[in-house]
Amino acid sequence: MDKQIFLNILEQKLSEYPITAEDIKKHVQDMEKFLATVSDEDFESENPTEEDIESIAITVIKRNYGDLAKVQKEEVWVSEDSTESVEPSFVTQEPESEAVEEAVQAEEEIKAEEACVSEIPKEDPAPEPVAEESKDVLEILAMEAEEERKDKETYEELKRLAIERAIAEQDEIIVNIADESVVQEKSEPEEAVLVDQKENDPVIEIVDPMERPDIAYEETEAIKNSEVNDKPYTISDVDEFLVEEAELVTIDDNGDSYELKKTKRKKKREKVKGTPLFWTLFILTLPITLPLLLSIAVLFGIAYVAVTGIIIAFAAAMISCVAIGTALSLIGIIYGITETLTVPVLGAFEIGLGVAIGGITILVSVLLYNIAIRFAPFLYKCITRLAKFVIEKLLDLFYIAKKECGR
Amino acid sequence: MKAKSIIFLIIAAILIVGGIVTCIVCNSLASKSNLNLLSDTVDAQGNAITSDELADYGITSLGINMKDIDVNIISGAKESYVEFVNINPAVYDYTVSGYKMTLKTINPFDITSLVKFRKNGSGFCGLRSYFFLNKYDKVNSAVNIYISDDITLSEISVKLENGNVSIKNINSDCLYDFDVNNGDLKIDSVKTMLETTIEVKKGNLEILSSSLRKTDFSVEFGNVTFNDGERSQYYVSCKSGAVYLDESEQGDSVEGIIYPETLNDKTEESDPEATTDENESEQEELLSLPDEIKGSVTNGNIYINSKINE
Repeated sequence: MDKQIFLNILEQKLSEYPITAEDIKKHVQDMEKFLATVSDEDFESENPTEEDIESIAITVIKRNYGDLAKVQKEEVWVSEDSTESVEPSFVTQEPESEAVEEAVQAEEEIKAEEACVSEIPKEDPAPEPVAEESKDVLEILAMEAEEERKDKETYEELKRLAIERAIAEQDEIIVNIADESVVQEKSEPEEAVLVDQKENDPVIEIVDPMERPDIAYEETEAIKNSEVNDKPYTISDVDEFLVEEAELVTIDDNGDSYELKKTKRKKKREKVKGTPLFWTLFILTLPITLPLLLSIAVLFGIAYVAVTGIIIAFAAAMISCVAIGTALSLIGIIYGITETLTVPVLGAFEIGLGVAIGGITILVSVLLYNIAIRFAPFLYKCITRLAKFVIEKLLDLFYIAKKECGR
Repeated sequence: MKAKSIIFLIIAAILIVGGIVTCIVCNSLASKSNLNLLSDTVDAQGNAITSDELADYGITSLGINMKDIDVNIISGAKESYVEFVNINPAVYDYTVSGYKMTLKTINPFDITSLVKFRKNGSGFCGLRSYFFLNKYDKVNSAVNIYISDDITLSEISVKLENGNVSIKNINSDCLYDFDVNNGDLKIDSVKTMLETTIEVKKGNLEILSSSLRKTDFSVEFGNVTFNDGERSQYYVSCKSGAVYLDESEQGDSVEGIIYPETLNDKTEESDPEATTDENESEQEELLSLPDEIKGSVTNGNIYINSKINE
């Protein structure tokens, strides 16, 4: 049987059910895509019969229009041989659908014929399992193709929803912060919503919908629910709160690109209007605070410069070590080989020296590399964290002072 | 530290251990075979000796500029050769070029000293010479230059930081220039019609049985001794010392004294016009000009001893 004939028969079988022409076309196209992955030889070896095609059609109907079939509450055996290891599948059909009824009748006829055949002693039972197997393989392949398509669709949908959710959240927060100064007059303090109080430090969360579809699904559901029950943020006497800023980052991994959602929680503060007392004190204390801040900034600057110097120094030392060590090692080995021809013992001694120098070169270079490339950037991170912490605490102090002056 | 780094560290450790074990084994094998890592041979006293033949080079000039070493130049040997005793090859540069032999101390870590491509002289002696730089610090190192009669030297220049210089049995007309910072200078049985310049900062100067036509010396801390010299005219002085002529103190300076005095000198003083035929042959000899010796000693004495008086 040709693939095209197969598709025609399948279309014909599907058209017997009460589904739209578009759906039939879609199912036929899906099958066509699947058949494109099967070679002609394999397809011919399978040699699907018309009955097989009909069972495939029933399976498709069952999978896509199961709710429709439940109304009829009539079970139809799709499997031709219930004694086989393959689990029987059920298809329920609508009573209104004549085509489905015809299909069920056809199935019943087939079952009856089989029952008759089973009563007659079988002369050659071997061909039956082969046909059954081929039918099952086709069915499994069709199911797999369908599941793959559904997964893909689900992933695309989840991704789209995640992006929409991130954008919506960000826009909403911005709007809330903008409106907060206008709306908030401490009239409704109880309506304050703290977005997230779990953590004070900025946290980066990475969610890959491909790897963690469960989380992505939960997020999608949460978005759906929030769309229904969402209320605008109102902020009154909350000094500070955390917001999430999401962005999609594309990562290439061995040619496959993944889009990861990167969420940062950032602390936002309530804008407290400074009183004249506060500003007076602020200006008067500037001769003390300004040098202090400058000295702190200078200290951090020195720390950054020192770490940069360490990186540069160690990188230069590593390059020098590699160059000199390699040269010396080669000199030792080559000179040792030439000296081996005259005084073998001294030549071997020289070769040993060259090898040892090579080893020392590798050892020192690896250590210098790790210090320059791994340890020093770690110091950078530590200093940056410390700087952020100090700035955070200074801002806290500033806001507390501002607030206390306002009381 | 990543896995790659750890793998490299393991490889490095294997190479280091393998290299060191190879060196230890080879060193013990060399000791058993009476081989020295830094020299050609080892003599009975255990001195490491590296030597090079000079006969084929046809040298006429020696230029030595070294530190912490004794220099001995000995003429009248059967063969001409240079001998380096207990010296690391990495710390000196020995070159023979254009009839001139040059010896100088070099910085072993000077990158240019590593590359020594030359026809005659010392070359690169392996990395081992750089790993045993201090091997001969506690033993006496020396350069012995043996000159046969086939070689006629016309110029010898020695500049030494620490160490003694000894020159013996050179009868060719040769220009000498000695500059010793810390050490003794001994000139024995040397005859030359050319100039000799001597400068010793801290050490003794000893000139034995020599005839140096024109000598100019300067010694800062040390004594100067002229023993058994030829008839010479002295212009010497001592800033904090004395000049002795055969144990007779002459004060702090001697200007123009010819010593040892000959008969002619005495007759000229008593009766300058008196001449006799008997002394004709002696007059010819006496008319020959005496050696001229000029110099000064800052802290030390000058001893002039004559064999004629004995």
